[in-house]
Amino acid sequence: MRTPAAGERERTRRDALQMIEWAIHIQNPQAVRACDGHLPTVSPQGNGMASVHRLALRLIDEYFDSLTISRVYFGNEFCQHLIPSLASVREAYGAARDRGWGFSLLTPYVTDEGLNKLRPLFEFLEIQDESVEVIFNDWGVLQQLSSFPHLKPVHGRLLDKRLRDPRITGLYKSAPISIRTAVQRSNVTTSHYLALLRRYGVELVELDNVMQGLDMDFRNTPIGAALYIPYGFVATGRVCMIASLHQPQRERFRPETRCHHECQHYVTVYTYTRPFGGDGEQRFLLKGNTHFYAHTEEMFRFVFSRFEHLGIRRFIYQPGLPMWLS
Amino acid sequence: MKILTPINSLQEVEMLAENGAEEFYCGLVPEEWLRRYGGALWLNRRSPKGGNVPTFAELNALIAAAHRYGIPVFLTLNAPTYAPEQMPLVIDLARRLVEEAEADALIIADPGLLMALVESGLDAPLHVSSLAATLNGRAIDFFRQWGVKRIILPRSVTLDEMRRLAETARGTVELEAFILNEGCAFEEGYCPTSKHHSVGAYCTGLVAMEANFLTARGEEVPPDKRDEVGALLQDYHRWLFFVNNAGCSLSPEGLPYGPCGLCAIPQMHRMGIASLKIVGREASSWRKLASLRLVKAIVDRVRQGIPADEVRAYAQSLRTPREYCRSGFMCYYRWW
Repeated sequence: MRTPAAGERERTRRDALQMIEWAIHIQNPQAVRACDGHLPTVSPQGNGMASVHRLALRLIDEYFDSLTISRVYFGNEFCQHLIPSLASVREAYGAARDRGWGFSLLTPYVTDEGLNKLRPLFEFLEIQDESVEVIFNDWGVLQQLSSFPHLKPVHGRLLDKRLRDPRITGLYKSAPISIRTAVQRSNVTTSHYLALLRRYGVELVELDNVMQGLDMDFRNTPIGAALYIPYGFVATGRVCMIASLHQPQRERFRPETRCHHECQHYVTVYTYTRPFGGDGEQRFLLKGNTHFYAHTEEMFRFVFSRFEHLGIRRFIYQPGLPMWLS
Repeated sequence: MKILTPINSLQEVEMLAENGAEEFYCGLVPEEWLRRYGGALWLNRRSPKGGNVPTFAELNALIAAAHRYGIPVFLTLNAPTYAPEQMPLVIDLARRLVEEAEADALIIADPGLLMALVESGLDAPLHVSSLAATLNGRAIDFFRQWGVKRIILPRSVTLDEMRRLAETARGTVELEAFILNEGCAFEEGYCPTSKHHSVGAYCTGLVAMEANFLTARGEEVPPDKRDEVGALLQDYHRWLFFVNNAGCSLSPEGLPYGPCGLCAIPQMHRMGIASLKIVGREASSWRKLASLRLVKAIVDRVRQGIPADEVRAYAQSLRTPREYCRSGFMCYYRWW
């Protein structure tokens, strides 16, 4: 027989399921038009990512009865060479609005050159509808956004500086509680950091589900949380190995290497060559300038079973490694 | 333009000061942190035992000794993030470093900590760590509003970008740039991986892993492309070797290998870069001294007004074997 407490928990869970927002990161404007409001059954990156994609869809289906996409993410978080053109943003935004979906522009860390590429995108989006968000992953981009009062700034996951090192972070699960909780939290929920974000009008913080787990409760903060699935990033940088593919040896691995979007043609899978103290089966996925890890079943279940207790109000689904040229 | 030198013991003060150090930076991990976290979590970017001054008493003496030479000492509180329960401890440490030890500035990466220190009224200059990834002029504006004295530029900033940033910063905030030792394969501020000795840096570890190139659709790379990507990977591993200090080796002349920006010093001088940072708090005293002498040899020539081309040629002549230098893989800033 169900107890009153169990009934209450079930109601809370039902409410949370209804409140959760689903966003999808779409690779190009055509894909926005083609999207039927559900998660795609096939990864745009084909067989290489198929198993992660299948696992994600199976578990989403298990935990969330009916799922409807209501927001599109567009752009790139990791590389200023993948900032979309104004024409592309216009088209993607238009397609999203035709569907009645919200629109979020992802932005990476940038030099002044990158900021100059972002400015016309902000100018266009500034005069669109009030749903428009800009995800910033660079304090200079946030500062720039303060000149665009109609754009909603969202704190990107690259600024969540929790230790993220899949080689060892799983080991922290068995560490003493003071250590374990410290690596499951970050500055994002400290009072001064929250005050800083509020000063800039930030109402949402994005996170990765790192392997050591999350111990951050946003329910009692003025700010909500969003979580990316099924990939998290490990490390990213301006030096891009694959961009050097066609460079003479002496010119390779420079931050200013001329980019021809070689990242669109390759992905590199790193695996251990000898037994390792953590999880020897791990793979790291290098796409362009960024290393990623994929969620395991345990990681999916961790967040899907307790997202309401963490204060997560949005999931962002990325059907492939999010390095596409829009 | 000052030479900023790492230090982690009182015994090093005289040696480094007498050989041209003009600023020092170091770290200290208090007992309370060690009781809570041992070596599992780092208060700053170096392991508690490896790269930090061991006690408050020694730090006090180190700073007093440095001040007798007229050399300021900056303290690192530069973890990329501090959890809420860590903040009171870190803020208290900041206060002790400034008020008791008389540190001349604190180096901060976490904007939350930066705000907390500013609002606490702590009377100390604040330097923004390279971990804050100040890559553009608007980021300078962002940090400038908190009254910071200095911003440490990330290693990935090119000389052209540095010139523009220096123009933005001029007269309001100092800029510091990396000059010698220890590179980063990734953007330091966006690589929150562990450097714990049990695993080593993430980028170093890549060399020991199997890398399998696939097409974007997850299929095998066509046979005609395999040699091309294989050669790329080989070069990448070679570059990583230099990024990671060439195995911390020394040249036959006793000079450190590893990332180097000596050739760029004349340009940085013209830009008005305030300070040149030598990396390696955890390094041996000998390595610190050798690094300092190397940088000073170039800075002295720049100060003497020797033409930039001659200074560069001299800098390159010091980097042996020459093929290391010529490869370009040892450069922070490839100016050609």
